[in-house]
Amino acid sequence: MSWPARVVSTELRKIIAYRSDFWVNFLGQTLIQLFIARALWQSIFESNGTGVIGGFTLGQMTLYYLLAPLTMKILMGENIGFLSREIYDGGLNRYLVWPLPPLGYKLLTYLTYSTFYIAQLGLLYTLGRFLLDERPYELSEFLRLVLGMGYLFVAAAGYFCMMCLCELVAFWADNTWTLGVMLRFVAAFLGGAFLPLTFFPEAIRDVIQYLPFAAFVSGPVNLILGRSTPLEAMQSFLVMLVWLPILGLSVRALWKRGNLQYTGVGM
Amino acid sequence: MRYLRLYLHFLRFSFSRAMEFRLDFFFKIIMDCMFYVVNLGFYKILFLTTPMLAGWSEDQTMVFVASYLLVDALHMTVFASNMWWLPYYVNRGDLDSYLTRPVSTLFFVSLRDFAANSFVNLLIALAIFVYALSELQTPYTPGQLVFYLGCVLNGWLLHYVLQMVFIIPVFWTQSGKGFNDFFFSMTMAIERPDLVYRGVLRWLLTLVLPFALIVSFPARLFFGPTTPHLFLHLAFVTLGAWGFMLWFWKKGLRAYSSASS
Repeated sequence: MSWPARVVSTELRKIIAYRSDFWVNFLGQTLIQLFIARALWQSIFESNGTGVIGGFTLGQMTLYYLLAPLTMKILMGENIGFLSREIYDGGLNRYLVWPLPPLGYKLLTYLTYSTFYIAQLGLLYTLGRFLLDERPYELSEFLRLVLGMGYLFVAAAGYFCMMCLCELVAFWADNTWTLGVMLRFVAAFLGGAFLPLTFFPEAIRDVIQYLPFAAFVSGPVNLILGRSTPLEAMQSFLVMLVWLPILGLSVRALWKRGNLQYTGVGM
Repeated sequence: MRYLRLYLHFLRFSFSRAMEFRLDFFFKIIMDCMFYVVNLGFYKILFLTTPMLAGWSEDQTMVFVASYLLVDALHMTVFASNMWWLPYYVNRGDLDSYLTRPVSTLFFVSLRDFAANSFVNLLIALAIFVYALSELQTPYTPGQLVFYLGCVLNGWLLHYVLQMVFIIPVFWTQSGKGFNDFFFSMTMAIERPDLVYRGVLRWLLTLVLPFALIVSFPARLFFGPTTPHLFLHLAFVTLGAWGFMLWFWKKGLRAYSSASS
């Protein structure tokens, strides 16, 4: 078995090791967020006395809020501290002597988590689609789901790079988990996890379209829901593809600078 | 009096520890400010699509939002760091050293760490609250305001109780992560007016896991009309939640098997 396959299989075993955590997360967390969001929007639809707001029906809005928290979970992959903790306590030493690239290893473990959650999203969306939308299921919807899942995989790699930029600050600062939390707030808000981006004022939307955040939630979710044309989906995906090498090179530069700083004995 | 003196020592240690890590101290302040901006931004954008939310106008909703930011800041300042570490104490057996001390273990593990940085954020949240109140068009008396602040403080304590209820299962499950993540998902229920919840969800969030009582009930009492049953509901559920948490904590301690449980 090659080393990437070994890493993926070890990480998968870790994910399902704590079964109670897994089920509480998978069902409880996702469903409660969905119910709360639906309750809020149902109240807004009723007080406005309309069936469509911002191009969404209540059913579509519910599906949006089913996918948005799952998408955030996919992006976040591993927990905050997956790299900074190792730098802080000297645990990075083992990666430096292993015969494999440390950042490549970290990317692989991160994307294993993301892939696992992508599969969860596919399963839950298909279930939700049959329960919340009465239209007949078409092949094009399945294709959109597959494309959206691929889109999310690339978006997770982009988010990994952003997280790394926050985590690597640990080479210089004592505690950096707050940077990860800040990134999560910004990515969720500007990505459309709290509110679909169509509700944002136009001036803000004009700026967001050039940032990678729209590709984190709004882009893939709208693609899966069929709310964006292939051209619109491609546009936000291309923005992410432009950002990806910029972020990747920044991570590499920071990693090299940080390694010169690293003492290897923990702080 | 002994507990008050002990708490003052906790405060002194916490402030001196916070000042050792200055960059972290400022990062945490910025992080909380970002949380405030995102929450205020969420409702500001939401009100571009609707004139009313669950019967509340924008100025009323902003007082509600400022109130839950205040509750969050209070929680972050006094309890949050302690709540964060408690599952690790149980999992690694570090709780042993707290059990042998001649003070209440619950008092010690809940209040030992005072987050000095969040104290700065508490002042910011207070300023947002004062601003939101100054914009409120609903008339109110000073007495109503004092009563409201009392109810918000009650909500803060209820928030602590609910988080403890989600942490205590770590005595049996070994890992606190799942329940902890679930708790944080549930906190979204605090951030929405309770009148949006209906049916089973309403029953769940106002009786079983009363997150909707933390800020939304006090806000409804404040904006009026004041209904005695609303206050009685708040009082009984709060007492019930405290009683349950204390009972559950004792059960958890009995199940605690010390190091590496």
